[in-house]
Amino acid sequence: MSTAIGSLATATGPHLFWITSRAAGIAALLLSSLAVCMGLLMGGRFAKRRGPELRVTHEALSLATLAAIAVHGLTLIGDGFLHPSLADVSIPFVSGYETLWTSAGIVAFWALALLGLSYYARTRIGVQRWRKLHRLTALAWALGVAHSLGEGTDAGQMWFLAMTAIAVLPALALLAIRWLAPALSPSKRLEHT
Amino acid sequence: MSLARGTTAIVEAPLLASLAYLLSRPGTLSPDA
Repeated sequence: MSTAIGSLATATGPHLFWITSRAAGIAALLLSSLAVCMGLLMGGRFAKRRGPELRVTHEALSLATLAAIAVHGLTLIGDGFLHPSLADVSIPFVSGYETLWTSAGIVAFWALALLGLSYYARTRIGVQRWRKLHRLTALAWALGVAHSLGEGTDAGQMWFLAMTAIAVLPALALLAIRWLAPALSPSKRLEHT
Repeated sequence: MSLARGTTAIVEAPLLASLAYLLSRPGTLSPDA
């Protein structure tokens, strides 16, 4: 492990923290999009056969997303070019670097953390109330995607845009199905007659 | 596999893959590039 870290430090020169932060941001984008997909699938017909597996996968992906975002923000503190403080990477509107997009990313992280980790307090919150709150996770995820497209170092690269599209579009399609399905279902149509 | 070990493995895979990919693209390794 130490040999691998040594090789990595040699390969990246003085930018080990910077490149690790970028890699963690990419990982967070992929993991969060997958977590949103799994969460949305849990509410569909697919969940009837695969419910418990989906729930565990959704939970692991959500925790992995939070870990990847934590690595994304904390490794940036070690970067010798930007020199951000802990406050810069954890409190919205403190950083002077791309303030709006940085703040969007920070708000997205705290929202994902609160909405995700509140799962473990759902009985105290009330399961129905928690489910309603948890739906806001999709907005926090979208804010994170906006942060990566608005500020990401690689956002102008074709490979990054293609990767983002592959990760994000299925989640957006599932979100659209979730929003539109109740309006289109025969039972709802009957309710409105 | 426990949730903690599974989560760690799930973080590691895309993180290391992203690192490997970024390292294979010289010229974009620096923030001032």
